[in-house]
Amino acid sequence: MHIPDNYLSPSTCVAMTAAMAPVWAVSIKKVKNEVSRSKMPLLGIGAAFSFLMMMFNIPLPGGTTGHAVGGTLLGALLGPWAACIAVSVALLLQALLFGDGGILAFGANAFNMAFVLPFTGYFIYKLIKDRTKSQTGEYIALGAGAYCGINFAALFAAVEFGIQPLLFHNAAGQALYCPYPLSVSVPAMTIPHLLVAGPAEVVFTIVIFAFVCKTSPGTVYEGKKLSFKPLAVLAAVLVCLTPLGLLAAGTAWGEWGTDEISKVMSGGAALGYTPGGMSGGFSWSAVMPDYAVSGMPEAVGYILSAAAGTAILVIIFKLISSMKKGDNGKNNSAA
Amino acid sequence: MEKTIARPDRTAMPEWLMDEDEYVPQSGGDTFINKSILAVLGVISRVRNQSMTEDSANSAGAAVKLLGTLLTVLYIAVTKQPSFLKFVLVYELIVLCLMKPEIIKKILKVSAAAASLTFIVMLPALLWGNTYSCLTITSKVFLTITAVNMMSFTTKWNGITSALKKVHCPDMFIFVLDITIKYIVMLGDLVLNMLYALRLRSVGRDRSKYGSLAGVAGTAYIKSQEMAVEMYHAMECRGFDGEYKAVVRSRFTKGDAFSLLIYAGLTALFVFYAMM
Repeated sequence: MHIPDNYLSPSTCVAMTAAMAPVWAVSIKKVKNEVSRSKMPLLGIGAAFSFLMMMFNIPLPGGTTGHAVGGTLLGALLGPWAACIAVSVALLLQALLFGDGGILAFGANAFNMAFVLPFTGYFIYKLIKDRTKSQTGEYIALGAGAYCGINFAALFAAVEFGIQPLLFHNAAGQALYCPYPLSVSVPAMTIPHLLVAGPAEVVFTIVIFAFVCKTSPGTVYEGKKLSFKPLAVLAAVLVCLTPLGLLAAGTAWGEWGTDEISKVMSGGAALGYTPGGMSGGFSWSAVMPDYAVSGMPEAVGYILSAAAGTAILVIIFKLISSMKKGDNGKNNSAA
Repeated sequence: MEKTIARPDRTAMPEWLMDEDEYVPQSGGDTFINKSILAVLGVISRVRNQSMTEDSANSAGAAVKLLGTLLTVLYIAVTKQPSFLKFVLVYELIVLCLMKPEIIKKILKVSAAAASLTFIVMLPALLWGNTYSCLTITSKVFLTITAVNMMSFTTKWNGITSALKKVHCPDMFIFVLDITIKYIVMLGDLVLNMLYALRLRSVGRDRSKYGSLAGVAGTAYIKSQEMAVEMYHAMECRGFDGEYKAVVRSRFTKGDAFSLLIYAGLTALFVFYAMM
């Protein structure tokens, strides 16, 4: 679901970033006021979980791959505003360091995965949870939220892809950016997410949520024990398991490189050309492109990238928490 | 019985004391004293914090850390492979993310400052098209400074001296290091008290700032001479001939083993990339 650079026109990117700007502004304000200093590092761990979940690629029908995002999980654990910040930071890290998702398209990616996903997921979770009292009911609510969240996000991404050929093409009718219209992009994105990636998100979300509730209930419920150790252990285990994501060999839909796209088959025929906006477009040289390190097997590069990403996210949010002074535990006492 | 309270007789007060004094001191006189106080305090607290670093059961011994850090710095300097640097970066990030936020902030502040300075110095290379050396040298500086600071922030001073003894560093060197650190704190305290005194006594604009600070420095110097003589006598009394004896810790901790494993891994990676 990470839209690379040059798949969306620069004007679309600007529009999406402009749409995200107020969301980020409100999120930062909300997080500043609502998340206590002691809970700040949790945002880092949450962002790290999201980052790691996005590394587990799952093969999807049609030869492409997909992944879970964990936005609903973060929404349930930290609230939707904090989830928005956490997923945005994880996405930014992926774009800057690992070349996953575009720099120009960051606004669009953040809109889909850091805004649409956690908010949809969280409100559906909240809607169902408030009407049930049992633990099972909470899990069902969470599962429904996660499933709807990721599918809405996929739908938005598909629409962003699909409007490109309608709006931007050259005199010969060839698309300048993403070449697939809505009739191709919407089913291509949504069906695999409805069938495979959605259930995967549900499983990830519920399993991790149950683990967190059991080992560190203070994360979810105010006034209970808050311990970071089990969360760190879980993150370490996930880091070591990330090479499983390499088992799915295909490229995700809409994430082909400029060398691949002209050969991509769609509706029985290859595209046959490289869209003009892509061949001469913006390109960013990431530090570890595609989570790989030269001279090492892919799995090592994957583990290294996962560890680096997790560590950086934890450091970032620890630094932010150290800047937040004086309000230690303010919200805990208020609750 | 009625108590009589002795009241001062208002009329007995001299005339000149009754006059209103319109002296308004010029502002901005003691900024330099405050700055000096902050600088001295910063150094002293840095040393004091160091000696209060808690040694958790899982942390490696100072000798292992010292050798490992030296080795890491050497590898970073020698390697020609950016991929090896990525491994070192990930190792440092993982260790950093387990530390306290305040310490992370301090360490990253120093390394970021050093790295950005290097980047500015290397900027001409970048403009001439040599991106590789600019980025490599900047990242090498960043990694080296971070590695050294990670050791210094997690090890006590006395741990470092005992580690130096274990690796057969000459006693003279250890002695100088030991005394330097101790005297930074003692002389720092002295200077701090003099600066406080200076601040309390200075009113309005100080026209000879250099003079005042030179006075503080001169007094500190004279005092340090006296202290040196006193210390020599104290050494004589206690029969200390400059030889340090490290109390060898017999127990090999889990932290030691883990650190050794990591350093061995780094060495293997270094050799692997050197042979590529």
